[in-house]
Amino acid sequence: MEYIDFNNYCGLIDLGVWGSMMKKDKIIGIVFLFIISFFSFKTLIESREFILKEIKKFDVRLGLVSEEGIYKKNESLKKTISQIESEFNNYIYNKNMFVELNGYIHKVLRKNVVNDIESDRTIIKDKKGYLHFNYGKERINMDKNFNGIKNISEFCQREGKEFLYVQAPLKIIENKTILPIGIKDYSNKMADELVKKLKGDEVPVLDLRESMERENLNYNEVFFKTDHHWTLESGYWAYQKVIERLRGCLDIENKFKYDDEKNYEMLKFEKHFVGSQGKRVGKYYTEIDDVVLPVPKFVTDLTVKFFNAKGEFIKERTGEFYDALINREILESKNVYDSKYEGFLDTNQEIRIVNNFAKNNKKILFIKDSFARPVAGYMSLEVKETRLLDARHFKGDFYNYIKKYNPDAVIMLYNPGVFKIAEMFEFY
Amino acid sequence: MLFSSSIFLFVFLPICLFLYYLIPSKYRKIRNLFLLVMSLGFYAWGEPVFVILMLMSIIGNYIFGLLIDKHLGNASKSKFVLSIMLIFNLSGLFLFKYSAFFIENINNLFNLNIVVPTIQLPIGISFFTFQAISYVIDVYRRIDSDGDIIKAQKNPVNVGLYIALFPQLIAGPIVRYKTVAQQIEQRYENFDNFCFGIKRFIVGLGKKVIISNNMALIADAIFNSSINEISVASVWLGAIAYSLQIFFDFSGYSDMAIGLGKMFGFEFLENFNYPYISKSVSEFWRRWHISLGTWFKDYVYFPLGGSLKGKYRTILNLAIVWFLTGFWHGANWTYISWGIYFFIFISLEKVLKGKVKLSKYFDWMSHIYTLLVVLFGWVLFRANSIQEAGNYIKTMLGLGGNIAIDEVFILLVNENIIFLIAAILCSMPILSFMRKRKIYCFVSEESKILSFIYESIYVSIYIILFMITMSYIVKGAYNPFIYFNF
Repeated sequence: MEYIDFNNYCGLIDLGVWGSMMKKDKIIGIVFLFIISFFSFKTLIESREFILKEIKKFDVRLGLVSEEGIYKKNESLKKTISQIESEFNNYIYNKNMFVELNGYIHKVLRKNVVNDIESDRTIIKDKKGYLHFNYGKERINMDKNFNGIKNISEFCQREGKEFLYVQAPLKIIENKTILPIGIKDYSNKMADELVKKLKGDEVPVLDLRESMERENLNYNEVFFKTDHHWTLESGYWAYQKVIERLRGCLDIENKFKYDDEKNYEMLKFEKHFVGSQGKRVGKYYTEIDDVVLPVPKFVTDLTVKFFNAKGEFIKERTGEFYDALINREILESKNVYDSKYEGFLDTNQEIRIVNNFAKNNKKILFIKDSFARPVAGYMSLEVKETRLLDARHFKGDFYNYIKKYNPDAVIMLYNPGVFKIAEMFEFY
Repeated sequence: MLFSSSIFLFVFLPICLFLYYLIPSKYRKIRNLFLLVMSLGFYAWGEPVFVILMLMSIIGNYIFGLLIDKHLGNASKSKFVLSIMLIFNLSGLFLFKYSAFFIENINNLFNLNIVVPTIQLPIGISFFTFQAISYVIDVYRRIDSDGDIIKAQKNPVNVGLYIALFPQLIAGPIVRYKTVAQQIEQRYENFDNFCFGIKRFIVGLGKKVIISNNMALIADAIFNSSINEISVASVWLGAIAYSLQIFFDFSGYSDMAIGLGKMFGFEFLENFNYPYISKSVSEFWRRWHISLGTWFKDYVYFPLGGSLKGKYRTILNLAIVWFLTGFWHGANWTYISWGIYFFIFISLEKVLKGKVKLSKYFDWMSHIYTLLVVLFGWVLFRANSIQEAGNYIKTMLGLGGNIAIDEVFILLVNENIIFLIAAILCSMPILSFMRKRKIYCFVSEESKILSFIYESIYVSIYIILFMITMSYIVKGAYNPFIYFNF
């Protein structure tokens, strides 16, 4: 009988010197070599195109580097190397499997904070199992945000357009979401400050957080468990609130009432979606969300046009609500990690929706973040034309755009998660 | 390139191993040349331009080695060559690592306004410079401690391989030339050693990625906070986490280096030996970064006379060595102070040795004393300035008026308790302790079922450890690089 010598070297564990040690070591060695060779081969095959592309960009980068002499080539080479490494990491064979394994380890360890290489993307799990980003861990001054909104509002007033700032909620809901002890989020405090300032300056504001509180909405159902966006149903609810607020000014009917089941049906995709937050920790750390899409029962005919960052037309979809607004390939995808929220109006670039059955000629412009897409999508059923602009992508002049487009109303809809993105409030 | 990166694990390492072993072992020179080219590529991946510096170091020291060899019978000439070699190597180190520090201090001291150059530090410059110096000095000394004759390399590839060999290039261990002189030309790669190297590499990778990186999250969260806003409990937690982070990071890199070395047939010496179980500061330094301590002992302390020239000279020699040890770690007064801090404790221990009556509780007390000295030392090491370290230590001692405990502490402990326990346990030789206390596993070789179960568990532990480590690497978890100063 022999004992195992654990103290072979100063490592974590070594189950040491024993009869058939070499046999065990060889198995470990062979498995190790197999794993690294297999993943090396598969990943290089999958990423080779992208890596070659990055190598070809070397000369382009060379032109952009400000350094001189040998350091010029060095900087360009460093950037190329960094991009190659980044592409390789993105295309690691079966990356999701590793992310899921990692998430599972965190679940076993009962960790509620899963740190990420991008600190803003660190995942926080609340008491009910909802995942969050900690956007508002530092409180920022809201003056610039306030001034940006106020400038647009004043411009609309001068031009005789209706203006409404819609404060969408954040997934971290004041006094409702229970975060792990020690995690602070000031997003709602910042939103409160902004709304208060805007109201004080008589800028028209619709604070959907107040509406939710008033209607005692089931907070758990407002957001996806695994995505930072609200659900499509919540977008649909928000559209009702916006319409209620604007109906008087715009003289439009609300034929697609939220509480009238004759008007809509709920298209449900069960266990269908792991969102932006869930995909960073994998499906075993969290739960898979259902996706519910309210679809009108009445006949619709919409034309949706998509534009790129340069304002160039990209593609068009025409048909019923589902055919025009929904990207089937994404929404119906069996891959739970495909962003199903993006299945509703695809993108944050400029979008124009024309309602071919509209009974009025009203036009609405959304200046918005991604939360507005379902809101605008449902709104398009009420008016002739709805356009969506996102300040992160639209590089033209908003004032000229508004003048040229001449909408009846400008709706600015932001969630508190974008407060730190300066370019979304730069309206001078 | 970092060992704990997917590009190393899935591209560099498999390609390097495959091509290396594709070359028949009888073509040793071609294998060495291939390893040198791969090592230079490994280095260039992080900072392409500094490969030129590396090549200059290789060529320069190759020539110095030949010159020393040539003038071996002529003491004055060989000493002259040795001096030039030191100027050559240390001026490179000075230029890149210390010039800005010196100019800043001259500006402050004499109220001048000399432009402080912004020079990027070549990764691992302190490591490879020390190795290069080791090569020429060992050739100069001719005979090593075992009585073997050390000759200058006629083949520059071999000098290059010694200086630039990728496993120990960026974070050590500092391999002295005499350790590997023979292995460069005559080493015996075999699959048993190769597999043992893989095991060692997996363990090192696990230490770095699983334990050290998670400790870094705690340490960085606390050290990056404003000292006025954190509690006493948090600052203690931060100091402990940093102590564990640096140990598992550094010893993990050493394990990986030793493991990789074995894969290519090299045998590097151990660099860490459970330093946190030490019962004196002197013992700590015999167990911590052994290769650096040995380097300074061999190439600085002994040449200065060591402890053979009387008490005061010994203290002076120690002061020089510890000043240099601190300064080697970085061009900042914090590192210098950290070196002097250890000099004080080591000197005191030397002076008091045998004069203090030991009680039966001395073992525990001396262990706590050592841990506290080391812990406060790490605060000094981690801080950006001496003042920052002072404030941090003041808060640790409860003199800063901070609250006792805060939510940050609760969060960090709640989230990391398992990592903290694992880190503390793994920093001690618990398995050896279990063996001594007869709390060990035993398996009869005669029982085939038990043997099979045991072997399966044994293999699974390593494979699972590797898969978990890969999950952190592929996911892109927090992976700080602690050697940017070295």
